Amino acid sequence: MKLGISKLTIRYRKRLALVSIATAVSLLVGLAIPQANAAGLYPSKPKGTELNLYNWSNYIDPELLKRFTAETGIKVNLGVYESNAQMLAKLEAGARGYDIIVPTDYMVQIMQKKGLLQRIHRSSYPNGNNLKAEFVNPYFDRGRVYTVPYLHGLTGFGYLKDKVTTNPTTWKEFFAAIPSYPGKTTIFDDKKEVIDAALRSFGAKPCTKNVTQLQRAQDLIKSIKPNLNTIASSGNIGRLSSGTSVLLMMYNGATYKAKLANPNVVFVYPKDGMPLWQDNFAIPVGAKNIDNAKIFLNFMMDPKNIAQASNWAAYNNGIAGSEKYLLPAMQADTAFSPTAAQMALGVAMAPCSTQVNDLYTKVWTAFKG
Amino acid sequence: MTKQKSWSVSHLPLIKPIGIASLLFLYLPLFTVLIFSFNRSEDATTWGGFSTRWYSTILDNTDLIRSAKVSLSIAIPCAIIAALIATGLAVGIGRATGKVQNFLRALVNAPLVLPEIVTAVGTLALFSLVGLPLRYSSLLFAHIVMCVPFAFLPIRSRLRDFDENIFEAARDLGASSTRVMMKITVPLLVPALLSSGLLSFIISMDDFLTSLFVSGPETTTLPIYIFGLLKLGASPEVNVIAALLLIIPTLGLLVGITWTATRRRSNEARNK
Amino acid sequence: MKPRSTTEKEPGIYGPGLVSLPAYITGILLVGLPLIVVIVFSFLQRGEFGSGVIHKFTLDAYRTVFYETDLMGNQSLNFSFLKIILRSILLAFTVTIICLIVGIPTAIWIALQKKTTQRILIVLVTIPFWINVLARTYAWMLLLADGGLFNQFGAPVLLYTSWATFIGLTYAFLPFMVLPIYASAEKLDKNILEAAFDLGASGWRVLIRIVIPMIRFGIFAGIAIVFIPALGAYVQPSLLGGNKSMLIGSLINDQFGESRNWPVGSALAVLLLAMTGVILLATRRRKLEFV
Repeated sequence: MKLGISKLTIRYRKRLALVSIATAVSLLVGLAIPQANAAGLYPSKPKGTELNLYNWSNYIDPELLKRFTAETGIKVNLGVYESNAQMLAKLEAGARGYDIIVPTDYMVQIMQKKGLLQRIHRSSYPNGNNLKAEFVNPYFDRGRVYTVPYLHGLTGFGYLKDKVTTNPTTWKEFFAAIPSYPGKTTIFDDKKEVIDAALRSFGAKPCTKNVTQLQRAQDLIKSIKPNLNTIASSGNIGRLSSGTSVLLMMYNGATYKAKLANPNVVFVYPKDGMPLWQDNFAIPVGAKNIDNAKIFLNFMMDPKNIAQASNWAAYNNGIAGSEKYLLPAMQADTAFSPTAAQMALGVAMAPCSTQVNDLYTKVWTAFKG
Repeated sequence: MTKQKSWSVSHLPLIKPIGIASLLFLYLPLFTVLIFSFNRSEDATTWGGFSTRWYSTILDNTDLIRSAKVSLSIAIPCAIIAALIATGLAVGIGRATGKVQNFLRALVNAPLVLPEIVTAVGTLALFSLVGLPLRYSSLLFAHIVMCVPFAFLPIRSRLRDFDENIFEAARDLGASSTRVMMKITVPLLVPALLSSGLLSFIISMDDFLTSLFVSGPETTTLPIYIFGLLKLGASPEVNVIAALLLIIPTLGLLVGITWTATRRRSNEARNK
Repeated sequence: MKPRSTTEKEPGIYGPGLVSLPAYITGILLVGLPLIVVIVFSFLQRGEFGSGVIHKFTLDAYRTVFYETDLMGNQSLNFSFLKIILRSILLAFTVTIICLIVGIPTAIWIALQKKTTQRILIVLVTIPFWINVLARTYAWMLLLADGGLFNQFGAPVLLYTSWATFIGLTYAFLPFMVLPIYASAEKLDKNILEAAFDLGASGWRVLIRIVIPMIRFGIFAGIAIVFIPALGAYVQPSLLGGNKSMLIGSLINDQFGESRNWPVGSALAVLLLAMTGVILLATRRRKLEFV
């Protein structure tokens, strides 16, 4: 009899154990699934009415933002910065609460390593799969886990063809021409862009550790400095179109905008190489309005919307299907659409090592100081 | 025989011409901005005829209006709090010249004599050390600290003008210091409180450097926004904004002065 | 009866001493503490990847400021940073001198007018003080630009040169110089001047031997009020100077921003503090005042 009861008890206990385990598991799964959904699920509606956008100065169409507000009810608070380093410095100084930032490729990698970016869970977005094929796996964000492509472009230089008649086509010729136009030339206030350009002008590579090459770059930029009017990354569209500067470092899209105001403007894709940069939207850690940030990202993955951004800023984008909404005149212009050969000269900018960065800083301080 | 003054300002060499020249120097740029805000041309620096067209674009500028709101939302509380703190300092310490009091007074007044960049980075460094994120409250603290020494000036000068005997008498009659404060000091200080508040308000509205360092998302103040615009170079919109930044404080100041002048005159008339 | 002590020594005569507590807290927490933190940071190590600080004592920051290892590994006295510091001192000094040359006569001129005229003139001098420095700097961006008023009347383009920075700073600080000197000058006893003229002294003599010595405290105050902020200027070199010549203000801003080297930025701030201290000591009043 005891055996019979024990057998029953064992079977009962087993069943009880199984049922308990099953319940526990389903409970856990049941609890977990909504969590995962909450983290990855695209919000059905905005939460609150604010979005804190931290963007490059003069880099997004104000009308596009207004349309975003009209369509979603979310107001955009725009803060601006002038360089990736500035943006990073602000975030690290304690400015938490930005919902969307716009880091360039190499900065995405740096920030992701520092744990400053959040996953965006793109697959749950209605427009989440609208990326052009070649933009899905960039070196700095494979699979686009943290970012959505915004605009991309190349850094070269621009000049007024009625004032600069030597027809420069390389960085070497750019730097050589500067002393002929004292007070009418400008370069960027950007350590990496300027030093890289100087290095390229004599065949060296960006991120070089070779101190002789860096010294030569330093000597070069110091020698042209007296001929510069200002060292600035913004305000150059106006400077070029008005003739305040006749020869300057320029982004290709900005030069197109200058051309609209002054037909004498020419953009050059330097034959000795140039950076191909990709700007991206990302959600930083500490964002206050994550749902609204996702809605914004989704909005910017709509081909019509991103095309409006492209048309205003004159840079191309990474969203499939946007081509048909781009302005034909702009698409036909070389400043907007580089040829294959010109595109091949563009090199994606990877971050330099900390050691090389410090060397760059030495060069830049010696130059600026 | 009435004595004629044997000399005049013109006897002192160069005083009058330099004086007049400096006033012209001070006002030429201001008038230029004012006039150019009515420049029709899209090229901000070359005159192209008279027009008010750019003024209407201002109201569409949501970023401008938002930054103005942010600045106001900091400046108004800052003015009130700084005026109160400064009054507390003046009232509590009185004219005491003990070492501790002198040191603390110097400390509170330090932002007045130190370069702003030092206090700005110091504030940023402190906030970063204690982990205070950069948002509205941190900016407000930074502004209050900056405004207190300015708020202190009118209060101090008003207290200095008081007849001490009133206070001594009140003391001798047995009034507690709180009573003295509520019944005598505060009522006498009211006009100075207004100047204090106004001074703090303007200092806070105009502040750029400290705000630049300590600002975060949602706290883009008006000067920060304007600086961003200025970096893009001269433009007709900036002409209008600059002109407004000229006109509004000037009008406010003139209104304030006329008001105090008429009050004074009516007081004098009443006392006759 | 209790011996009556003068109010000079007595706190609390206007109200309870406790009322000044918020001011003390503000002063210590938000003025004293930041200064201490800056000094401490200047002796700490730079954070990883440049951000923030690591709490380890080191003199690296000061080493970077004063000595420089150039690209080739040669150590030398740091010309880059020292050049910037000297340039700032020179600029602040020149601005102060010009403000003195223009400001002293202006203050004296106003002080010698009729009372009502004085009031009007002082209001005129004060108005620019209330106008945002950005707007006042922008005015010079307009005037000195290529194609701007000065250029159209034949002057070379001064925008983006050190001249522009200099003009912008002088313009910004002139009211600061005039006001304290005027405060001294209005108390001038005109009878002394009258007596001097009656005795046959020339205008120059009266000016140099009598007026200026009598207003020297105002002059000292003016010097401090102009020189110190001019040392740390940031806006004018950035907008008018073309961002080419770094001054201490822009250098500190850069170290706390783009270059992300807080210890070096703090070390520079400490240097600036030290220079400020020297100026204040040199221009302080002899007798202690009700500050």
